[in-house]
Amino acid sequence: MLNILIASDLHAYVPSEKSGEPSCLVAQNTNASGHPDIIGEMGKTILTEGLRVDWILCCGDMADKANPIAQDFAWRRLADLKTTLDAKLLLGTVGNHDVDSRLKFSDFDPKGALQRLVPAFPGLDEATCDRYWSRNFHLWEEGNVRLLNLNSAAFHGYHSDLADNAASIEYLHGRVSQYTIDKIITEISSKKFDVNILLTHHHVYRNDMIYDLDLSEMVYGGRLMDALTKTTKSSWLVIHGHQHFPDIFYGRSKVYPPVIFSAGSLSATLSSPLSSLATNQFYVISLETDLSKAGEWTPSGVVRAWHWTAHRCWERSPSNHNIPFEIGFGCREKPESVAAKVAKVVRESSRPVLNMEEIYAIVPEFRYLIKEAVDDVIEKLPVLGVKCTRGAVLSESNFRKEKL
Amino acid sequence: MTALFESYNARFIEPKTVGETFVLRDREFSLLCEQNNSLLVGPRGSGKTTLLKMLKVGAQIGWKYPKQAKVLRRFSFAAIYVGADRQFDLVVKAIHLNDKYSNILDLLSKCLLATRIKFACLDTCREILDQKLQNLEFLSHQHVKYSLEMEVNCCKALAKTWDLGEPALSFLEIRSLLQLQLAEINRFIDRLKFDEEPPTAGSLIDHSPYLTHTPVHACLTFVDAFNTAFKVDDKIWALCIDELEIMPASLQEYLFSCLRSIDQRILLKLATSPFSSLSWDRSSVARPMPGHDYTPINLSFGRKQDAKRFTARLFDALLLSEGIQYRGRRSSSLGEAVLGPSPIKEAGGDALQREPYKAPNGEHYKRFALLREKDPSFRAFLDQRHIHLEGLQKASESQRAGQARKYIWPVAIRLEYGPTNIFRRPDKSIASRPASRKSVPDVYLGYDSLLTICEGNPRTTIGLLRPLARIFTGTSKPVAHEKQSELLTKTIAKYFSLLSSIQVGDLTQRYGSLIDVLDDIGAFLSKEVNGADFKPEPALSIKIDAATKPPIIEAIGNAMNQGAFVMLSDELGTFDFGSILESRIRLSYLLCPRYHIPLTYGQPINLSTITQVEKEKRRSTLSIRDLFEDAGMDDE
Repeated sequence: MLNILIASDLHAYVPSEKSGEPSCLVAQNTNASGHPDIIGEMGKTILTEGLRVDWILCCGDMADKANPIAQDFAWRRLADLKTTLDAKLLLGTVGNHDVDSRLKFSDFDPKGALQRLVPAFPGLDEATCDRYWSRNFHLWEEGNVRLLNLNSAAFHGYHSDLADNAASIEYLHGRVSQYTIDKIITEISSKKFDVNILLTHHHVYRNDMIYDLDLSEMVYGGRLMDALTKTTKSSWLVIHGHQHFPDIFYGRSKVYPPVIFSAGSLSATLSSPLSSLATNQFYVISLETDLSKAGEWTPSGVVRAWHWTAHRCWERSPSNHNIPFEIGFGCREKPESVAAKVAKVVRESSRPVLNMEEIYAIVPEFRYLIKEAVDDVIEKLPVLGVKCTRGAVLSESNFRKEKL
Repeated sequence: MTALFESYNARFIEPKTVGETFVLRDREFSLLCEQNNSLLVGPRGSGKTTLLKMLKVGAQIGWKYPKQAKVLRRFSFAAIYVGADRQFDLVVKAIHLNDKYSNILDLLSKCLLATRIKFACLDTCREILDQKLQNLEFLSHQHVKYSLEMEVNCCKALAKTWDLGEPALSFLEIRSLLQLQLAEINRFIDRLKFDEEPPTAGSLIDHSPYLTHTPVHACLTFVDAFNTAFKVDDKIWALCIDELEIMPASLQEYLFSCLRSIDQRILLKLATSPFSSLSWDRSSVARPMPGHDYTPINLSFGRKQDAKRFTARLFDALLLSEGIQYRGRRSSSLGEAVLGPSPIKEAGGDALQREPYKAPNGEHYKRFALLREKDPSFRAFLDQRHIHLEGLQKASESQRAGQARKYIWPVAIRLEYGPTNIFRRPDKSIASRPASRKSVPDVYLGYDSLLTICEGNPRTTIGLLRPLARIFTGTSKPVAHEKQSELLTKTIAKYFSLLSSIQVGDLTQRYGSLIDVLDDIGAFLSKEVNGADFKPEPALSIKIDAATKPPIIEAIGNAMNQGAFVMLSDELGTFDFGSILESRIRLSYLLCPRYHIPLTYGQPINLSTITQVEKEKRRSTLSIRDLFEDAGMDDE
């Protein structure tokens, strides 16, 4: 099992008359400012939960509007978090807000501030960082897991930003070039890994769940995914940010649909219509790396999600959130089939009440269903003679025979 | 507007976090831990909720200080904590709107509290059944052994006695069914508010039998079911009900009367503000008696030194939480390093105060001598009492106490605001110094004075001192008096905006809001200190005498609940809950800078004497600027 903490779209900022309040992460000494120390609270939450974190991934937009002071602050705080949690790896990727596309802070170098960060961005040795900046990607390999870190904002700041239609303004969307795709394919085809992860900022497929028109997806995202899955002959786990819209779903693919993990924003101010659909969250993905446990469903795992509350603390996200606490992903078995298995277990059990862990032990695929599929399973249980009482978080739910 | 005083409210804080940030009031907590009924009385922000929540096992898990945690072994009762919420407010308002249905609304409010208690019982269950407790040194005795069969049996019993309408086998199911009942209660309240022909109490009870459940019944049935199912027959439970004052009057009366008699497996721990408009018949046999039926625990500090000591501890904890490390020799060094010394200290000790009465440079001597020089009435007073300032240093401690110490504060204030502090007007006439709202004199600033002003009230302490601590962060000099003055002024202005919402139902139209009453009291007391003649024994406390009009008493009581007045003694000497008639009170020290009065209290004066004084032209009346500009609304 590999535990990956996801913090996306921090949008840290330096307060000024013009800054507004793009997030609740103010780039100041937390003791002096009176603002909540949300990154410090993340560390406390993880430790209180007794969880181990192996990797910390940041899906971009560390600062708002590429403010170098805020970038430095956010990156250092994430490095502090890595130390607090004794994580092995901290990796970031570039978001559109990380690049000074409009040259507000430099006359000529849109990514200079990022390249000056300490520790070196995106978080590895100098040679690998150089590769990320020169090729727009790098690979990280650990055991049977491979991570492809792709800079989807690589062309921001170098393109016609004065074009008269939005589709032509480079900084309004992500991009992966055919050259980059080719280079990636060349590198990944030499070695086989059980689990493949793509970390990037922009979404690879267009998402019309929030806005009527959104053209900010990664240009050639579909082409990239097609090439990746075709090369590895496996489904990929795609972790991205940008839209501040928490969601887990399966992407389109001819044979190997990827698991798309769309991370919500850690701390950005959410406005309508997004605010009615999303909250500020961070996550720990427990990725199943033991294929004997994952069965035929790879990649699979469990996501723990916490949301920021008005009480200035992180709380486990309840089951009505887009990404709730302890929700799975990976298993694409039909809900009817899983419901039948769960019902059989409950009906045949001698125990009057069964909790989630007891069900998972017998029907492991139930653990790896995404939220909508779990909802479907639970909805089907009453007609199969089983009553499910849902807890505030899914793992606290319990099951019993309908008729006593 | 009231953000300063809402910035810390234990109501919104998880029990575990309360435990982590708790600064123990040893005596009060010990009393609360005793195995008897308690009535916790204190004004807004005095720490009632924190103390009650600290009885919960969930809060005790986060207790930071192992030494103090020993106190947890003192009791083994399991606390069921219930806080009031907005729903009670809705019921209270609905009762006011619909006298016709007050009986049904009384029924619903009792049932609402009963439902809250049921939820709280389940919360406590979760805490004491948690296996982690077994490994916690000071809490393992609270753990109750769990098995699924026990839970099932308990829930089967609860489903029946709580009239849940269907069987339940788990605490989760019980909780889920209670949610349905709660939703139904809200529907009933809405029907009473909006239906032209709402249902009768009888039809409601027929439809939903659980409506007849009283708060104590809810708790009792739970205790029966739990103790039987989990085989802990003798287990004692403490039903802790917070914020009694915002509940409907009938519910307050019911709960208070329960202190008289309740099942022996249940202790009742109630928390409320000091004043209640309920008219308790003090001689009634049914009335619970303090000391017999319950232990009253007053969170106001009777002694200034106790309040200061507690504020100092709070401030130390606050500095620690802000990352300001202690490097001094004494713990007070750190706080004093942040705020700097006050011109007036209660006891000598440092260089500034070592020989304070010694001529010509002792701090007290200089003030006394200056006033002697400027103020003929003070000079006359000294002559009359044969007080020789130059000889004070050599006088014995008891002589100094009689001749000088008790005049330190009046002299300092009189120097600032007395009649001899004159200034020349533009028209070249002479007038007394104008009442400045913008700057607070130094005597009210610095470590000692600000600690006194906080009165041991955690919310005021956090609201006022935390911003000052943050200004100190990264510097090595005490926070400048200008900054302290600015924040204190803002704090007082915000406090006034809070108090201005208290209305006085005065038919004579003399008083609109409580602020008018406060201004009269403040002006009167200020005149006692700063008037034409120096008064050695100024009236600086107030007796609520029988000649005072009831609406004014009620307004003063409500202000006391907000901490604007502090009880010095009451009719029975118990500092109990109820009427404040015949009690002696003083203005909160937080209000003293505004009215130019000393941070001490003096002789009592009848309130009716103050309110019957013909209204003079006010020094200045409260204006919209006080509410908004001083409060720093433009900053927020």
